[in-house]
Amino acid sequence: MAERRALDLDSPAISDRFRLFNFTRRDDHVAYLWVLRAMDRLREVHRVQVDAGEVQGALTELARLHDEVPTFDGNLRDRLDALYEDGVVHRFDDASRAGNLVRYRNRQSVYQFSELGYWAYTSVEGLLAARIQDANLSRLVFSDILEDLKALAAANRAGQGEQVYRRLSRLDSVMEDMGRRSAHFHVTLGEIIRSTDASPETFLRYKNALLTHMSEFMAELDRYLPRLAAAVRDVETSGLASLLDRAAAADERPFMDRHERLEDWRRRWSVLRAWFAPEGPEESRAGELRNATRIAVSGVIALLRQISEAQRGGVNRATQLRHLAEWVWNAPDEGAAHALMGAAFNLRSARHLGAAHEDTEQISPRNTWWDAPGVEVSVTLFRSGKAPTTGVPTPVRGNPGARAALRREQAAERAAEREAAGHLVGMGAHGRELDDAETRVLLKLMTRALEGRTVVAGRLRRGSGADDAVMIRLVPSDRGSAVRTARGLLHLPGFRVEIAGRTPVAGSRAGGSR
Amino acid sequence: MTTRARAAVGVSAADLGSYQQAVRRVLTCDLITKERPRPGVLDQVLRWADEMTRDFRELLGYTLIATTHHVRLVRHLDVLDETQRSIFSRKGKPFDRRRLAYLCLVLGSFQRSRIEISLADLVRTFTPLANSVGGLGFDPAIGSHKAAVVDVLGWLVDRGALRLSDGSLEWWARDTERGDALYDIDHDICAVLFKPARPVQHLTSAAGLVHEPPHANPVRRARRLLTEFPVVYYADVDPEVADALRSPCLAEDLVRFTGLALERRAEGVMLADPGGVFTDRPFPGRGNAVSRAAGLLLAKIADLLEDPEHVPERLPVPALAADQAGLVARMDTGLPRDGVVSELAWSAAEAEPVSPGDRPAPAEAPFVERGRLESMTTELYDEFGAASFTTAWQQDARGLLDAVVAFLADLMLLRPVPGGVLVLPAALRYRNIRAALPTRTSGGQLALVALPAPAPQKDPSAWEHAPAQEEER
Repeated sequence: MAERRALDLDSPAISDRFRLFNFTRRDDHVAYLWVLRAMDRLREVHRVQVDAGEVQGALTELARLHDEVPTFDGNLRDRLDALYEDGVVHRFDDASRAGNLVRYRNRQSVYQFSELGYWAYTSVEGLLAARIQDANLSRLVFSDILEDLKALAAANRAGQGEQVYRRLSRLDSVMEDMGRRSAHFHVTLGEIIRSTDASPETFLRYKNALLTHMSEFMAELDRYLPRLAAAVRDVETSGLASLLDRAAAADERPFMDRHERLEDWRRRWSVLRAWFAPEGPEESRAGELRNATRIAVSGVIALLRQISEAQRGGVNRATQLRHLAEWVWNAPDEGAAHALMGAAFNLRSARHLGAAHEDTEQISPRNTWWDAPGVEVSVTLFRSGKAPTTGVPTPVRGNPGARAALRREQAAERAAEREAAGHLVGMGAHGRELDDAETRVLLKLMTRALEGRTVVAGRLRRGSGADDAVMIRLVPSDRGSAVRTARGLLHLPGFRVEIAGRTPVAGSRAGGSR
Repeated sequence: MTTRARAAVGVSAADLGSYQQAVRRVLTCDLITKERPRPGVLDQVLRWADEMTRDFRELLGYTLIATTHHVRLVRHLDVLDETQRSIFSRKGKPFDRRRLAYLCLVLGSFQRSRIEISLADLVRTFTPLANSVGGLGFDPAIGSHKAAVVDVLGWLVDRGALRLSDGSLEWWARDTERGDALYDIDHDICAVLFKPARPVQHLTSAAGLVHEPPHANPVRRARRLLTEFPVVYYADVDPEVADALRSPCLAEDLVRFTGLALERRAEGVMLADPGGVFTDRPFPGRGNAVSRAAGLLLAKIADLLEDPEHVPERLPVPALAADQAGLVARMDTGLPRDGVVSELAWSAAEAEPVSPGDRPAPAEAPFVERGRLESMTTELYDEFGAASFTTAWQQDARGLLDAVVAFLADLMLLRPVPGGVLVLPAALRYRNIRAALPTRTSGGQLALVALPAPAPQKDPSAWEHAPAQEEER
């Protein structure tokens, strides 16, 4: 609740209050802290207004208990005055009459904590007192939340306005607490992980408890999450509008009108909802928390590995590498540095001489390299500085011109053939002289027809042959026939030639094969 | 040798090639991921993960870490090696010490609990770490510091330890204030990248980065030497290891395991790589100026050594063990003693003193003076034209010579010593490169036709015929 009130402050008021913390930024902030501690000690025994002497006395007392209390050589008054300037303490002048100037100038001031100053001091102390031991994920809270949600739904159904308000505000504070705790826990954990070089012992001491804590929390969360989501929906089915209405009605904050209160409760409810039962595809905040916890567990395990590695050898990789860096940098020459790096990293490459004898067997191993013949080496390589090649591979020649010409030729031939076939179909093969093109087509077709005809009982049946435009039929005929061509007469004993276009083929063949 | 299953027992003859290719991949690629070195490689390698894991363990004592996302070979290191600079490099340029140190710091600053990090955050955590190392520091206003961070992050991205999800590194490099990039961190890969033999902070000497005392298990050690290094000279290794290397069965296993060709000579043994890719230093390379010049220089040296008028001085080859000790001493000068966790510190086992009689007499090798190497380089520039050694080296014959000598030393073909180099035996296997040199008029071989002084750009064609015949001889 305190946080929300803070939102109402305007900026001058905020900077006024921030001024209260000035003492933490001064050069010897620790000394100021001890002064305030002394004053707080006096305040505990109801000595509210104190002078410098009393503060000094309290400090001396504290110094007996704590070694780190600084000594103030007469400048305690300055410190107290500085605190007065910051507004942490009030200063009152000693009201008794001085009588002469010296006494007037040495007149004592008395100091007292201002209300806000006391708050500032306690919050600083609170901050200093915060320990990682406090951090935890509150896993037991889930059952309370579930119970509250159920009671809330029941109260709403029963129309108990005050009960609705009570449950809802409890839920609200529980949720706030949970959010704060989990944030606290993860921040603390992050800090442990980051600062572990300094104190791995703390971490190692608690590692098991920590891991158990986190995994138990996750298990609990997994167990409760569906039930909590169902409970939230159940509350909503009991009538969200009337619920919020009742809560707003029972809310007694006098400085808000009803509408504002309603709006406030609506916002709180949506936050609660987002924790357990989100709308739309995004993960609920509880789910996010679970993920964060899971990641944290793996972080802890990685850290554990790092620490145990470090403890095993008394050194870890990082310190070793730092040590090596210094060693390498101080090496007297590059050769030594590379030898050092190669050996420390354990990185190197095998090295061998090129070129080998084709037939190793023929040279006696008792020969010296002096006496043995040299290996075959490409002389071109050394003469020209370029490796010998088998010659440049000839490029594949794309020959589009020639290809196009061939294609044209072929197309012309086909066209001529088709024309001749057309004539044959139109005018038949008999009773006229065929020119060369027509003869070629006819002979081609007849070759096919003769290959395809069948012999049945020693007698040739008629055959037919076709290309894509023309169909030829050799019909048995007693008289035989002859075809006149430009090159002479073609005798066809026992057959007559019938020629037809390809289109009516189906019909004519049906007739022919009968 | 004990009776033990051969390498690649479960692999059928038809699949052997694919198995050997996978083995070679694992041995040359520091980390294989879905994209590295090329998409598809991971699947090829994973197919053989079980067999390879077994073979690597039994043959070499290596551990293969194979998951569905990455494959990484954790080696059993016998020696420290300062020539492996291509591992920590980017775009062909080895990292300097700043980049190496940054890489460690960046990798060390990824916290396990973070799955992603923005570049700005990374720099924020990284800067104090860098500043805490004396003299290192990081200042975003200094371009070279930023370039180093860019290279380091690029290195991590290449290996999949970081994956860019938004923004860009270039943007940040241009404008540190506004530019930013968001990376996903792959902690598995980060963890698998850094695999020291012992915790680095427990070491009081760099010698502790090597896995075991050098005398343990000579057979495996012999196999590892043969698998990892271009040549193993018997004179360089302990007598037990040399004995193991002479065993035919050891080499046979490795030939079957890697698919390389065994070359055994009186001075040592090597696995030759006919494919030319099972290496980080390809030689004979493919059109790389340094590797070409290296070949030509070897040819010149072979010429010189076979010249009857030249009697080379023969000097003892310094022992590799002495080199190792020197390297360890150099590395130890940089050791930050403050960081060592002294309670758990590892200290080197007392090295057993090697009696002088124990070691074989150091081999001797012909010595070639620096001056002569320089004149050879000058000749090569004259004969082939300076331009043919690429613009990078055109004006810098000395620089090329240095690069070539370093390259050949990495391949264990030359051994730099004060004042020149020693020619190690295996260098002579490349003597045939002499055919690439223009016909000489000296050295007992007279050119039949005195060629007219050819125009530089026509050089190669003018020599086309004579050397070709020579090659076929």
